[in-house]
Amino acid sequence: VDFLYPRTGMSSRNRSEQSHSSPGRAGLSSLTSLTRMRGMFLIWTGVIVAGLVFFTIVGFTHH
Amino acid sequence: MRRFVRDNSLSIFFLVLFVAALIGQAIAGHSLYNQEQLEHGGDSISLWRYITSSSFGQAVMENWQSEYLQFTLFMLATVWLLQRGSPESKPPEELGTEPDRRQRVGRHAYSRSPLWARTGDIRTAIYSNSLLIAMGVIFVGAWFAQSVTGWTDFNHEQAAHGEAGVSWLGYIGTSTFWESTLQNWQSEFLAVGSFAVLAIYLRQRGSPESKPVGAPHEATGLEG
Repeated sequence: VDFLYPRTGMSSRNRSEQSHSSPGRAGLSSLTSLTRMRGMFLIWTGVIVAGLVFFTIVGFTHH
Repeated sequence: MRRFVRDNSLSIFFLVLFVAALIGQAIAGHSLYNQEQLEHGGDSISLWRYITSSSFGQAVMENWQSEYLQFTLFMLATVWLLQRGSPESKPPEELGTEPDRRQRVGRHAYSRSPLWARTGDIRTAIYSNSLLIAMGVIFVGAWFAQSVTGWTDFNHEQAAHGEAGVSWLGYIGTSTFWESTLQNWQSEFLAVGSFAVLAIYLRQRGSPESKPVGAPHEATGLEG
């Protein structure tokens, strides 16, 4: 099972060719993508934590 | 910006839907609350006061907890339980937590695997269950928030009718709390169970939640 390239259907040969064609750009793109994914992770985590804390406080303070 | 939207379109789509639905719930709930207040000779309240009320908080939290319970249980159940023919189930030969080699942890990890997957110690054990832990913590937190907001709202109603309030533990034992809890649980269990079974024979082309359109009905664990 190839976890790093799931569902892409790319053979290892294709992946190798792709990464060798422009290694610098591919690396930068991967880093940017990781940062964006981390951003979405933090947004959703923030929404959930804020909701839980907010309504717990509401429960203890407001009818 | 376009790249960001494309790369995160699924989560952005649901974030927008979530915010829109929550705003809609607040507006509709506020209207209903004031209508009931007027019918009982009470004072109407502002939208912000309604949003910071236990009545609204309970309505939101009872739905949150049931959704997170659904995902937590489904994740846990699919480790060991099988539904032959369903794309949501693993193939019979893969049931269980699977060997380290297949899960790529410890000495079997890739160089790009997450650090905690590579260490092979307690950190790997924690990371191996981190999604379940996070979903479980959110479920418990939302259920607790539902109990606190429901408790406060319950005691307010009791006081309005000249009756004595109850402790938090007393409220946990009331049929009011369990009715609001179980009405949400039953719908989640129905939806997740029926989805796992309907997906044996039905397809949605292009969705990873479905088997490929041409996959045999008996194929288990295949995703589109």
